[in-house]
Amino acid sequence: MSLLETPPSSGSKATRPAPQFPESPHKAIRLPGGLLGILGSTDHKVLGMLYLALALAGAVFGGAFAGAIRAQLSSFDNEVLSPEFYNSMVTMHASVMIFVVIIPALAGFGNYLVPIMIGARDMAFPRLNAFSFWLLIPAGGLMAASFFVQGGTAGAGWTAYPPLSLKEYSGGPGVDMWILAVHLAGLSSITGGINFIVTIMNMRAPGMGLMKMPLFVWTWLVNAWLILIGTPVLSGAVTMVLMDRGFGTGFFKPALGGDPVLYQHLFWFYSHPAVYIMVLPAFGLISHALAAFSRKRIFGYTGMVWAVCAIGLLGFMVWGHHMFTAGISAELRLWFSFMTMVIAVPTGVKIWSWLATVWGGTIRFTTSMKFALGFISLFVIGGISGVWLANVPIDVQVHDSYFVVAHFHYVLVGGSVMGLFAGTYLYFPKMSGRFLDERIGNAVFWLFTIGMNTTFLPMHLVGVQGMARRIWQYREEFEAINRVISFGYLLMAAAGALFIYSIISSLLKPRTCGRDPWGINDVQNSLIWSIPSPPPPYNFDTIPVLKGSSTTGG
Amino acid sequence: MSLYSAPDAHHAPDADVHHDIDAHHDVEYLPSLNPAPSYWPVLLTATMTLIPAGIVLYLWGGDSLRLLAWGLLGLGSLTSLVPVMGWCHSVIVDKWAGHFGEAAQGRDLVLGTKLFFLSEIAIFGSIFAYFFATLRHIHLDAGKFWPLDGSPAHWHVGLPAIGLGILLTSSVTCEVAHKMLLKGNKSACKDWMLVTIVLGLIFLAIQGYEWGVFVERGFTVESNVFGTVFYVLTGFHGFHVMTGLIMLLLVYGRLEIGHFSKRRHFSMQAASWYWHLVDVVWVFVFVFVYALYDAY
Ligand SMILES: [Cu+2]
Repeated sequence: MSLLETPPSSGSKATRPAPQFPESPHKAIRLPGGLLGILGSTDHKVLGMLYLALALAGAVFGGAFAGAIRAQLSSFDNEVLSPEFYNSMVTMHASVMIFVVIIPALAGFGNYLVPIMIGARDMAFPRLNAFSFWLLIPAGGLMAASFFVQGGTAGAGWTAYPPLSLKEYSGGPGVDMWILAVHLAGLSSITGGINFIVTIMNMRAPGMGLMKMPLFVWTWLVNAWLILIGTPVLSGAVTMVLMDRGFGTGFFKPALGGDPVLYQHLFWFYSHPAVYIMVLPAFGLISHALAAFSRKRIFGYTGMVWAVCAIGLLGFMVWGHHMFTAGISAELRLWFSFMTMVIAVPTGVKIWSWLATVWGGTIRFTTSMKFALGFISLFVIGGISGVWLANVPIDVQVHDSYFVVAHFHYVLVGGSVMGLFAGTYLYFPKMSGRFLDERIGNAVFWLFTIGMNTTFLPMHLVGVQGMARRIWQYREEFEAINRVISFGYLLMAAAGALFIYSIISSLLKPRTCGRDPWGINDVQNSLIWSIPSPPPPYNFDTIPVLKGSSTTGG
Repeated sequence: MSLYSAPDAHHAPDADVHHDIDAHHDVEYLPSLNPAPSYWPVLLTATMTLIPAGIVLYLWGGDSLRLLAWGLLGLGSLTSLVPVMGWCHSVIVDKWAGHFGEAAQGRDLVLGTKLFFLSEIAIFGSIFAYFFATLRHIHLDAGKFWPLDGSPAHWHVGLPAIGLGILLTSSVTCEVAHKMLLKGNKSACKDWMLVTIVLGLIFLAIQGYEWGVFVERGFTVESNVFGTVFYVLTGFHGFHVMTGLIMLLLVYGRLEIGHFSKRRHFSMQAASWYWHLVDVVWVFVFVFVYALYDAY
């Protein structure tokens, strides 16, 4: 069964005379290769890889900041870091991991894979695509530069709640630079989101209906809507803080009639959906990994699509669960608590569909598959502690404790990062034409998974016992467990180093991959495994025409 | 080393030839674009970076560096115009050359523009959400709405009502200009576009005058939260009016050169949509901030 059919020669509505592409006016400009060629590139594959490279570099810094945090916390009365610098490390660890690592990495996979998966030659707006990527450089640059200004980098947490983020408590330009960096990263997200929606809506190959798109494309479509509606609100909120700091306004100053809690509403209106912005495309990646290495198609495709849409919609109705202790009314608590638990339903649909995808399949335990299965296990732990936290009495008890830190790291590391690993091992052969070493991959997986659990599982324990987050020292009784946590960090760091080594050493080897390096296209019959690895410029000689059969397999 | 190249045939064993996608069909379906390499985006991010740098310097450089801060802000804004113009030029040239199929590219631009408007609505939505929530909590805390201490006791809505009338009229004249172009009457189109621009400028002048009067009476952003939200909302709207005016001016310039035809005038269409959006936002500002002021 072939994916493609020969287009009908006449009589069909789809047949049009081939447009004559005139000589491009840009042909006159010959771009040099190397760095200058990269600077001017508008190719979605080049930009996708740039996003991924930036994310990897960002992960080194974000990981180093986490290392500083763990070094400080490795004994209860440590003074390796000053309290101010500890706050800065907490803030920058979160900001870098969110805005420079996870979101760009998922955008990188989206950029690379979405046009190929829908049978297009590029994104709808290739120049805008380049703009979205390059905006992240000054965003990261501003964050980096803020380390060298008087007063140091921002230390008000990535949430930047006023009044902590206002001038009285955060003097120095750090917070202002952080806000401006968030603006640039936000603009990058918004322009990227517009690009993804237009690409997916308008540029699908003939025959690819919405319900035939690979799941990863669906997750990015929903993701782009979340970005488009949520990110401007974050920009609005942090702009208000910027104005309160520098221009005398009173948005969040009670003395002028302002209300700091309103900031939390605006901030979480973006930042709860941001959790899904950071995990939905990872859902897509592991769906493909699970199907590929079970030699099956994705189970329950339609249900999966609706579950992703439902998660996207519900994601905008639950932000108040971050504010149960901020003094919101009982009715609001009830609503946000209930809606948060409702999200567990579509998430459950996804988990069971993933398990059913693997069920009865011919399972190959490749590194990608291990990470995908690890994703399911760890994400379920994070999801269940999330349902606990949705209960107001429990949340009031453990709010701002390490229990919450444990919860969202199981979601973000166990979810997003494991998904990114699974996606990298699955698609690296397609992107580079080379396999990643499976033996090293095995070590990366076990080191990372054991390290991840050693780090974050004990945090539940100290959290329930009352260890507060964002405080540089703690009670002596928590020291033993914190030593274990810091040791877990070392395992994760080792896994990260090994992973980077594995990528570099693979890139130095010759290309060996064919179109279908994992040998699954006879089952899945999808576009991505039908073109060479790496794909040629513009992906397709002619735009493919899809037959009736679905391409939801991979 | 280039980031990719076509795979070497010797290193790419194709076990799955029956999935061959490179069959040479002689019919091209959706004309899909072949991206032209472009330095404008990366250049724009570089020049744009001067603006946040200027803001930081303005806030923290002290009086001695104030001039340099303004210099950076001005330089960032002005130099950004170069890549913006270059970028727009590439888009126009691509469209004229018919590279990607006129219809397909037009469809993309229409959807992209609408999505951009949605993000604008979301930003204004965040300020309005703040406004309504503040109304509510002030009522809960103080048992009264405006006027807080420091706000005007009454609001004379005469001037902003004139502003509303002017903006709504300008929306109509903008549409008339569009109709004239569709009829093929290019000089009338230009005239109506000019009327639209002049009306927009009058609106801005009225707003500026109003601000001046208030500031003179001591009502500023620092007076109270109403002053804050009033100035930020009207200021942000005014910024959008200014952006819209720049767009309309560019459209006017291109009309002058004779770029647009009955069939091809997407940027004129987009600029007029933007102008309508700005008008609708002002209807909301007028109703909720001005007209209902005494009623709260
Ligand atoms: Cu949340």
